[in-house]
Amino acid sequence: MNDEVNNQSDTLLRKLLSELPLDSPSMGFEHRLKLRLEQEAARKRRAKELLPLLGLVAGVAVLLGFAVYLTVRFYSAKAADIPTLPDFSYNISFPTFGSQAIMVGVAVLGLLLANLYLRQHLSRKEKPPYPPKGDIC
Amino acid sequence: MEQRRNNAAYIEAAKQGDTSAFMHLMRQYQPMVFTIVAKVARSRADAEDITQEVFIKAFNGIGSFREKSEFSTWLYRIAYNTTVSELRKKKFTFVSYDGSLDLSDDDDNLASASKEQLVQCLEQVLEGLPPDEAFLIYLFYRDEQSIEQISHITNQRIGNIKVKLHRIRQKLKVELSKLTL
Repeated sequence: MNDEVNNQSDTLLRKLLSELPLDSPSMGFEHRLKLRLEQEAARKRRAKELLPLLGLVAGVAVLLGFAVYLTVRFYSAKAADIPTLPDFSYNISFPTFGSQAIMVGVAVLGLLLANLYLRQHLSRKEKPPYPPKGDIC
Repeated sequence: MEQRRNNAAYIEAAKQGDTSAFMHLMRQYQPMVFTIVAKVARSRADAEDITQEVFIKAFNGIGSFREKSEFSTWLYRIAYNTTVSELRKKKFTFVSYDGSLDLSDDDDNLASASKEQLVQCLEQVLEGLPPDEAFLIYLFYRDEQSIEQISHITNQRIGNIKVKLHRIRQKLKVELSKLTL
């Protein structure tokens, strides 16, 4: 009995509400929305472009930081911290980097940056094709 | 099916940041979203602001749309959350309807009132409901969303939705029966 009453009210409500016409916003609504969407898209693009660069900078900073940390730690180590070694003649020194090694490092970094730039440039060009072939709606 | 396939291409393009593809989707769903938001918000200016916010959120979040559900269900979920939270921010107040109206679920009374009158009366009664309840009613009766879909849209359990719909139906009945006295 209760179900029957509920079904009746359901049918009535559905019937009445389906009579409501679809509303549409004012004329300028779509234009305003499009402008805001373009602003958002530009913001997202900037963030997308900046992210790999920030990643690279952070990576280089971490590597440099690690190198500095090791250096500082090595030089600040007290004599007591260094384990006693058998009485041999040791010669411990930092390896020396010649200018060629630095040039190679700079060249590798340059190539990495160029690779990053080219990839970004290509990804901007390669957009998925749409609308698909066939009818649209 | 064909429309869904086409939409998938537009969704994919929108995920890449293509605003024209998103505008295509927006034109398709805007009447549905705007109608329901306008009914719940009651003010046209508020409804436009909220609808704009809904589409901006959808554009920004489209990357997280996994296509497990229909695009419309996903969009309704954003619309529901945005509408309810925006109206709460605006300290939306709802006033219970106390007008006089000749309507009941009695067939004779229904037959005596014109359809326009009945629709107008129902709209007035629905205006007295809180936004989330009004949204539920429109989703269920107007857009014919299933209880499962509504549960997904509102992030509530199916049992909760059933109870809420029953409670709102009772509330509507009380409001409508007052009008026949």
